[in-house]
Amino acid sequence: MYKINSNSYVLLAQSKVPSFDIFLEIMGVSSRKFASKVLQFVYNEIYLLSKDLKYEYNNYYSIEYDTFEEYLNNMVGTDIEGIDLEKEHLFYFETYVQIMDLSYEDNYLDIVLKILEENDEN
Amino acid sequence: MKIKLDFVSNSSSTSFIYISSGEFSEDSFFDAVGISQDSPLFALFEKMYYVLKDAIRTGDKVINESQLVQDDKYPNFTPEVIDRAKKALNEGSDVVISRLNSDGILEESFLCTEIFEIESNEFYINAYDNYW
Repeated sequence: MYKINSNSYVLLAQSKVPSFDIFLEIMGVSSRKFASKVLQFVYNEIYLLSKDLKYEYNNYYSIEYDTFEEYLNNMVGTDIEGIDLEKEHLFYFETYVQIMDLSYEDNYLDIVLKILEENDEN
Repeated sequence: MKIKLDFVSNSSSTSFIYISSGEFSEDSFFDAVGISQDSPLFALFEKMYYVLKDAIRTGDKVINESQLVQDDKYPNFTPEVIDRAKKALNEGSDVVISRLNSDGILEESFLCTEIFEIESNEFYINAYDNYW
């Protein structure tokens, strides 16, 4: 499950980070054409420019905070119910990419996140 | 009507050039941009197609080479693009210069603010002048 908090930050738990080619395949987009350039922005925002809170906790905060959950409550202060904290990665990012921008009523953020979650479970 | 929430911005527009020897069809567009009809994001690119199609329909049809000069009315296309347009005119192809608005729907606003080039056997769109 993913979460979008009141400040428009997204929490997305994933088992693995797909390569960009796999990401395009998941999204039904051919490489090296215009649509792949659009999706490059999306991929970068989710996987490259985001914070991986699991990584941050394991490498920098696991002594200061007894549990990952405690770290999350302190660091992001967000409702994490339903988020699978056992997954390898927990990406945390704000949506700057226009097609996922929450200030647009008909944005594509939910569609993208749902597809990534479904793919992660397969 | 689709609405944008949260803040107000000044709207502006950017230009693109369209060159075609045939019809600007959905199939040729989707093939050119690389989107499958099964894609979960197909609707995004379908809307982009209709935005561009509408802009092409309402744009300025270029009849002769003198319209391709760099002035305030038309943007600063590169010499290569202008040469391509001149060649297309000489071959009897359609050349249209049109505009995209930042205040339109999400898909138009995205296209307005992005630099892009889309090419197929049937058409060529250059929006490299869209620096925002």
